[in-house]
Amino acid sequence: MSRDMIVPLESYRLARYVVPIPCYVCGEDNIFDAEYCRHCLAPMALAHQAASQKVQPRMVAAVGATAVGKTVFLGMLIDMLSRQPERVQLMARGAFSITLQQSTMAALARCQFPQKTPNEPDRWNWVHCELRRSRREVPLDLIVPDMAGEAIFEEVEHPRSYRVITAYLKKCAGAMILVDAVGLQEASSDHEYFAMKLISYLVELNEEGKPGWSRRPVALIFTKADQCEECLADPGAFAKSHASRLWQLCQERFAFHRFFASGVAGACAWRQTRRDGRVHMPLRVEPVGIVEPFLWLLERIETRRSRSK
Amino acid sequence: MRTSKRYVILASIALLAALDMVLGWAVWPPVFVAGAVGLVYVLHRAAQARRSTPGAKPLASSQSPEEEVPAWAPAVARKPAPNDPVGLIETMLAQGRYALLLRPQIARTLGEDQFHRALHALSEGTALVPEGEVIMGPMDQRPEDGAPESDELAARAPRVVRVEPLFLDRYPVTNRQFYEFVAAGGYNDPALWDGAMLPAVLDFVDQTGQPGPRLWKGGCYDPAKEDHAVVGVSWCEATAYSRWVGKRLPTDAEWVKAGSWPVSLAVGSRSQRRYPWGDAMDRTRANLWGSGPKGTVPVTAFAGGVSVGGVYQLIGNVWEWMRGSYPPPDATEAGWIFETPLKSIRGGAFDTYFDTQATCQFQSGETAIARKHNIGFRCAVGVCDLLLARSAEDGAAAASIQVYLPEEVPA
Repeated sequence: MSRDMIVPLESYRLARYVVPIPCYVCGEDNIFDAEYCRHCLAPMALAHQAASQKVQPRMVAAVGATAVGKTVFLGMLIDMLSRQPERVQLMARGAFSITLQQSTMAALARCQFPQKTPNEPDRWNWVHCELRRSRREVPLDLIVPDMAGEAIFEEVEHPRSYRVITAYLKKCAGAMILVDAVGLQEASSDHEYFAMKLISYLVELNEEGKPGWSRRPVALIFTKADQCEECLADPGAFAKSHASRLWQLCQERFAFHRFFASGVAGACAWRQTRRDGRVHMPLRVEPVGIVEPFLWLLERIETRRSRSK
Repeated sequence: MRTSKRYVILASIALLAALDMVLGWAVWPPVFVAGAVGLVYVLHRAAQARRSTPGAKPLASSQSPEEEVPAWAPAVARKPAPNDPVGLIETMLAQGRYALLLRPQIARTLGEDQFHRALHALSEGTALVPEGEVIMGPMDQRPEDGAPESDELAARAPRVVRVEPLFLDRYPVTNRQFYEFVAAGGYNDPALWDGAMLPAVLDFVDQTGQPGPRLWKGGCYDPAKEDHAVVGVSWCEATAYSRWVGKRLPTDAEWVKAGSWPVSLAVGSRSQRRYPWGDAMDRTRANLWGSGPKGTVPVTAFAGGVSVGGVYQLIGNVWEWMRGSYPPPDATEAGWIFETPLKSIRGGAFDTYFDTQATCQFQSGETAIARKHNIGFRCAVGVCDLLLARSAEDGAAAASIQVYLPEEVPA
């Protein structure tokens, strides 16, 4: 008897499986209760939130090499925007959107850098947030993932090895490309070459009906600039003098780009620990140049959107 | 861009004036005169523009950056005439070097009035930190996720340090005070600097290449920041200034004691504050990230954050150089790998983000020659190093003793 009661309910549930839910990142169909997209491993919560709240979040990417400071930059940016609501107020949509901020801030407050982001896309922290700006009435919804540097490297070297990165970058309205200022100052060309590879990869990514990356705004952010005063004083001049190939490529490839400098730690030191070996540790946290590139990017994205309307 | 635009406009006017002159010469003389006046005007403005363009007039090979005259210069204490001990003492009082005058060797030779004025300056400028014990180390840190290994935890155990009584500056050293040191030739006096650091002193210049803090221009500070804490000074410069005024940098324990104001409740039990005003962070009492104008403020600002002993801005505004190293050599914390040894800084600055990094106990480090935009200092002097009361004989003998101070010791 009880079995007869259950069958109609399961049938109802089964009916919902028939209706496909498209992933917000790659657009492929998924079943309604999937946690991650079975094609690209992006969280399906993004699609559910977009559908339920009837918003079309825009996407902004933060990309760069391994250990360039993407997680620290994004975590710090989100925390700063949610603490100081004067110009831009950031409010997370969904509990999962707070994880990146929480883990980064907890580590920095203990004078540690956060753990390395795992390569597996289903373990990345995604942020879906609402941005309210003092000058604009309509809030902006934004999606930003904290992608692993090694995954980005793999995708750039072997395109389409990470489907989520390809799909995400195709849809992005703008990007923040992070480059290690200390590496450039020490004349290490690896950082410059990787940024150049990344730019070349972006320029070749095209999606129908969307302008290519040459017309999208790109903020080139030198990280760890607190340890490089020359960079902090004039990022553009620093790029020209220490990364001339990168500077030239940006001039050629991007119509809307600007160089920025940012830093989070006031000073750093190495420490030998029994558990993790040699680890880099911030001695204090003094964020500088974190919000400015993001605000510039938002401004450019809004300008483009209003022009296209 | 603005300069090139100006030149284009001037060139256009010059062209028109020249045409006017040619036309006037041929047709009507008054037109020629108008053209000539226009041309003279253009040449005058062009010369003005060239003078006002930065870098347009390079320094002559014989002219060093040190010879540049600052746009403005505050009045400094009058330089005394040679063999004028009274004038010298007056100058030193005006320079804020009262601690040097109160050294026992010198204080006994001062006149009654001068001695009392020096004492008054001491009580106005410094706060007494009584002797006693203070707990050093992150006593308030709890193990959290990713807690350090057990040996690290053991190493972080708080330790008790005894502090002798001292006078600590009520305020961080200001730009105005540091200017006295610069104007008195402090950067050119090798006696004030550690011998090993002397090669670095030549590099301690401002933005125009003159001796002084990194953010100054033309050997002088921004007039709007006269009473702000001096920043952009290295540990070496802070130490040299301290010596010049007859003081020294405070030790970590002295500074923590002044801020946390420990009180012994019973044997083995102490109450020690997390912040100078209490145990809870109150961002209205300190110039930190999000609570101030994103820069330094006058040293008298944020009076709500004053310590029990009357010391201002121990927390916030600028980090303060300590006398000791980071991490302290007596600490058992091991495993640090430094390319260059670090000096200790404490207190947090206007851009310090976390409350946990702006406590009396939090310690950070910086290289001794770093000249950061958010690191300043204040000075201290031990009570035992000063003569605070004189016998009647001292006053009587003062009239017959010739005073020689460090810069005027006869050969």
